Amino acid sequence: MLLKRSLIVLFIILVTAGSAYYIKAGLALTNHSPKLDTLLPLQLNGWVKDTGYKFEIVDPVTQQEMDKIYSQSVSAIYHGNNGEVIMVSIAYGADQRDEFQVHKPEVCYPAQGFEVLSTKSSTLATKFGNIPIRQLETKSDLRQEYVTYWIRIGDRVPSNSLERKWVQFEMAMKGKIPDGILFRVSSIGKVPDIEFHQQEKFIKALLTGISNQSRSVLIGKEG
Amino acid sequence: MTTMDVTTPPSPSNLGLVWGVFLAGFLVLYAPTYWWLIENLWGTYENGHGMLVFMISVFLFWQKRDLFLSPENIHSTTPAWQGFGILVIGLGVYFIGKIQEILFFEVGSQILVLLSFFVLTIGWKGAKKLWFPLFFMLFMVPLPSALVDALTLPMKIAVSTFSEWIMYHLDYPVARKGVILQVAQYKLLVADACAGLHTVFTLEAMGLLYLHLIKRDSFARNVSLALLIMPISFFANTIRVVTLVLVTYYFGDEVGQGFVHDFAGFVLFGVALVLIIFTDTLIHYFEKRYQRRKKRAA
Repeated sequence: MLLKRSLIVLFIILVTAGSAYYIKAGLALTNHSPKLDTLLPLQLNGWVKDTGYKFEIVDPVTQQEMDKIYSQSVSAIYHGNNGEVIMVSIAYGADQRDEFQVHKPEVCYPAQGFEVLSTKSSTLATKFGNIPIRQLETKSDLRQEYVTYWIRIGDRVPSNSLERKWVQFEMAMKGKIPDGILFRVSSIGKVPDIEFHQQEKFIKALLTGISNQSRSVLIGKEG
Repeated sequence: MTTMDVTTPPSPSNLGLVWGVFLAGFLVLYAPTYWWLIENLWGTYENGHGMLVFMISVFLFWQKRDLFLSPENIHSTTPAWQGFGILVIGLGVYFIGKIQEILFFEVGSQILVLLSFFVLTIGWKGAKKLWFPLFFMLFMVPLPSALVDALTLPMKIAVSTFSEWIMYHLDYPVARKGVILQVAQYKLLVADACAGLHTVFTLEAMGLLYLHLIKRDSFARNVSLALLIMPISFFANTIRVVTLVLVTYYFGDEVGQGFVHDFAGFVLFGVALVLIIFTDTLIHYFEKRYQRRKKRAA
């Protein structure tokens, strides 16, 4: 009688383990590495890319950590017509499942010595759809930095972590591993409203000034 | 039909076979998981305690093995569907964890699966007697990294800040930016392992194990000790960071990062454990005094 129970248990376990392996073996990475270096154009409407500046990560430990989760990353500085300076950073990870998630600025900035003064969730209305964005005010001893960012997972930009988990699950059911991007724009200044407004202007100019393919790398499918 | 006949216990060989089947099922599910853990996570500093927790869990189950391996203990009034229900839930968690690479789910599901084995053989009544080994296995479960980051960062910053304050007031050339400490020409990163939530976790596990083994039954003491482990761990980690900064300052980077680094970790862990036992003995002493006073007053 007890033996019967144990054999039923074994049977259920075998079915579960078997299907898990079957589905997992079928999972494939979605994207062929996007060309990030050419994604940011030299010129946009009202903005010019700075070609003289070179970004470097000095700390090898940080570099190691980043290499673990980002397959590719690219950064640039843009100058606006009225002297505004915007920093852009795009980090791409081919596998955005739980163990490999991109690190959010709320975690990265404090670790580098910045104090996060405020965070806000908002929506950026563009002609390519509404993008859920996060906006941070940060401060270090040297400056005040304002950050706008979003994370694309799979084919869209989730508004919260629950939606993100859903995208991961959805794609797994289709047999795919979601890739993802952390898109971050930041600027240094004194007045948050001015900085955030400029950042939004820049983002809109950027989204308009790139190819459809590049845009889908940044925000997924439109609408 | 669904409850088990109390009057005829299974024969020992039959029972052996039954647990053999359960073990086979468990291995099918978790042998690859454990293999992966040993290869990838349990060697690291952050999750090294996992192996220790696993071995202690096995020991705890072995200690109570009579409860489920002795034929006369095998009887249950719990309907079978409840046991199977827990199994299905546990396997569901396992399934999602396996597909989505959520280690937390995959490893955590074990507890539910094991629980279902016990409920099916010795019922809720018997399973309740095994609550501690099952609960203890929780300390083996790797937390999702996002959660760990969120909980660890304040700890790391607090430990870094406090360490800097101490060294500054001892007149050492030290400065801090976030979780990076600069002393003389050296830059030290207070990493996860240094300020670890992981240390807090391990100490909690050891503290609770200690309480369980010496059978302290006072609920108040269990809770107060569990809470005190947090500040004890904080101080222990601060001492460790300060020690390592001093070693690096006087003997250079290589010594600071080498053997001394890990050694300091173990020493510290030992000191913290002793502190915990000492604190508990102290609480026990005051509790006894309080009870004696009450008796005299009554």
